[in-house]
Amino acid sequence: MLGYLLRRLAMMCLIILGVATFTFVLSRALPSSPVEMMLGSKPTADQISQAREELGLDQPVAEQLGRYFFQLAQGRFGTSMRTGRPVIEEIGQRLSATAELVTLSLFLAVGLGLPLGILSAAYRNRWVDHLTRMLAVSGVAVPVFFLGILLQMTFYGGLGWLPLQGRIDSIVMLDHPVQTFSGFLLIDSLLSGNTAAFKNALIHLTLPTLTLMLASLATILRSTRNLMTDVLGTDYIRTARAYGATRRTTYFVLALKPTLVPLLTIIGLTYGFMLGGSVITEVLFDWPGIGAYVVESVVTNDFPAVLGVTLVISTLYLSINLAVDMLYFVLDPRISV
Amino acid sequence: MLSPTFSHLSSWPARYVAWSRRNIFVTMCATGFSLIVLAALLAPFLGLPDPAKIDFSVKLLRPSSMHWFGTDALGRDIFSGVVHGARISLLVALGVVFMAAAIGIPIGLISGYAGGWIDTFFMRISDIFLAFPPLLLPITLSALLGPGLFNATCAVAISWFPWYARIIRSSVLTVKSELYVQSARAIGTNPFSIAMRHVLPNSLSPVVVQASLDFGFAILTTASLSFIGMGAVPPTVEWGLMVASSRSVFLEYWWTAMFPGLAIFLTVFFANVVVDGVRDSLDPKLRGQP
Repeated sequence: MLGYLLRRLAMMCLIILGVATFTFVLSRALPSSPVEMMLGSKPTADQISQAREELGLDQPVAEQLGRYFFQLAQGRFGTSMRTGRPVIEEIGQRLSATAELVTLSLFLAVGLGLPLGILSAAYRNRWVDHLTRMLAVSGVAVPVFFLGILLQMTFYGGLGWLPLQGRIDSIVMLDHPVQTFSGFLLIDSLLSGNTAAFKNALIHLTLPTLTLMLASLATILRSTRNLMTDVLGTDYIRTARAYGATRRTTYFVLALKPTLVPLLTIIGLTYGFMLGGSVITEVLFDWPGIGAYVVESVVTNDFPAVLGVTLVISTLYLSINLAVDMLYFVLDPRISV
Repeated sequence: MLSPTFSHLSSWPARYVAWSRRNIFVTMCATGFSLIVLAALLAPFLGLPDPAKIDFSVKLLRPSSMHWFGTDALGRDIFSGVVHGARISLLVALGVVFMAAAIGIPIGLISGYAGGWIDTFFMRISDIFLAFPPLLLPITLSALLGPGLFNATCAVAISWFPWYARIIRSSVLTVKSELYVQSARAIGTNPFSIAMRHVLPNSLSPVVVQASLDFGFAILTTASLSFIGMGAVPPTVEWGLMVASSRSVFLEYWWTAMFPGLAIFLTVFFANVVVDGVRDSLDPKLRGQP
C-alpha cells in the first residue's frame, strides 16, 4: 500500500514535469510573443532585442527550459508581466477564494445529489424520478455562463435579493475586517463572531455556488440513481428485505455501500469539472479566484502567470485524483494493490 | 435497426412509428434538433438581415414583429444571429469531435496494436494531457494559439484526443486476441493490413458512441471559450460570443442574453436526449426496460 502510494506519487511528479515542459515549450514555440506584451504597441527593433535578452529569450529553448526548471525547484514561478509581482504570491492569495467556492459547491452537490438520487431509485419511474431526470438532463445541457446570467437576472435584477458579483462588499470589509485563519471568509468570519461579514459573504457566495453546482449535482444525482437501481435488483437486497430489513436500512445502508466506490470516481471527475467551471463562474461573478486569474493572464499574454497557474491547477487536480484512488482502499477492503 | 420488440412489424416505417410512440420524448427532441439543423443549413437563404450588420439607430429594440428576438447593443438582429449561429456551433462541434477522433484513433490503434515502448510512450503523453482539468487545457492552448474560432476548435480537439486514444486502445487490446485476428496472423497477413482491415473496424464502435455523446459537450465547451474571449472573434456570429457581448446590458435588456443562451441550451439538450435515446434502444442490456 505504501509502496503503491510512493509509486503513484513518483508518477505524479513525472507527469507534472511533463506538464511544465509541455506548456513551456509551447509558449516559446508559438507566435504570440511575451515581448510584445511587455513593450506595448510598435516597439523598435532595438527595444525588442533588448527585451528578448533580458527575458533570456535569445537562448536555445533547452537552456531556457533548464533555467525554468531550476527556478521551479526553488519554488519560484517567475514574475507576472502584468503586475510585476511574484506569480506564486498572486496565486496563493487567490487560491482560497476558489477553494471556498469549489468546496462549498462540491459539498452541496453531493449533499443534495446523493439523497435525491436514492429517492429517485426508490421511486423509480414515478414523478420524483421523472422530475429529477429532467433536472439532470437540463443541468448538463445548460451552459455555466447562461445559468449564471439567468440567476443574476432573477435574484439581482428581478428580485433584488442577492448581490450581482464580488466576494464581499468593500464597505463591510472596512467596517468589520475579517481576521484570516483559513482563508475561507465564511469560516473566518464565523470563528471571530463577525456576523455582519458572515452574512455579507454568504449572500455573495450563493449565486456563484448555485451556478457552479448544478452540472455536478445533475451528474451525481443521475449516477447515484442508476448505480442504486442496479443494486436494488440484486438477490441480497431482496433477501435482506425478506428478513425484515426496514426501507431506511435497505436504502441508506445496505444498498448505499456498494454504490459508494463507483460514486467516488464520479465525484472525483466532478471535482475536475468544477475546477474548469470555476473559470467561467469566476469571470461572470467577478470572483477573485485563480479561475479568473487564468483568464486575466491569458488575455494579457502574461506567460509566467499562465504557466504558473496551469501548473498549480493541474497539480491540484492530480492530487485530488490520487486522494480519490487512495480512498478506494478505505471504502472497499476487497481492493488491494 | 431499432428495437427487436418491434421486429414483428414488417416495414421499417411501421417499426419507426411504433418506436416513436414508445419514445415520444426522444422523438420530440429529435424533431427539435432537426429544426435546428435545418435552420443551420438554410440560414443564408431565409432572407434574414445580415447578423453582423451594426446599426445604432435600431439598437436594443424589444422583440417585435420586425425583430423577432429584438436587437442587441450594436443594433444587430438577434433572431438572425441565433439562426446563423446554429451554423457555426454545429459545424464547430462536428469539427471538434472529428478532429479529436482523427488524432485519437490512429494513436490508440498504434498503441494498442504495437504495444511495448510505443504504447508506453503514447500513454505517458496522453497522461500529460489528462493532467489538466477539463476546460483548462483548451483555455491554455487557445491562449497560445491565439484567438479565433478555428484555433479554439483545434484547442478543444487537441485536449480531447487522449480520451479517444484510450477508448480505441482498450478495445484494440480486446479485439487483438480474437480468433480471427490470430488466424490472420497465422496465415501470414502483414501486420498493417491486419490492423486496418480486421482490428480497426471491429474496435471502432465505442469511439463512435463516445463521439456522439461528446457532441453536445463540444458545443458547450466552444461556447464557453467564446464567452471568455478565447474563441470566436467579431464579426463571427457565435452564440457564446453573443451572450458575452450582452453582459453589460442584459439586466435591463433581457432578450440580448436570453435567446442566444436558450439556443445553446436547447441544442445541447436535444442532442443529448436523442443520442441517449438511440443508444438505449440499440443497447441489448437495456432492451425491454421501460
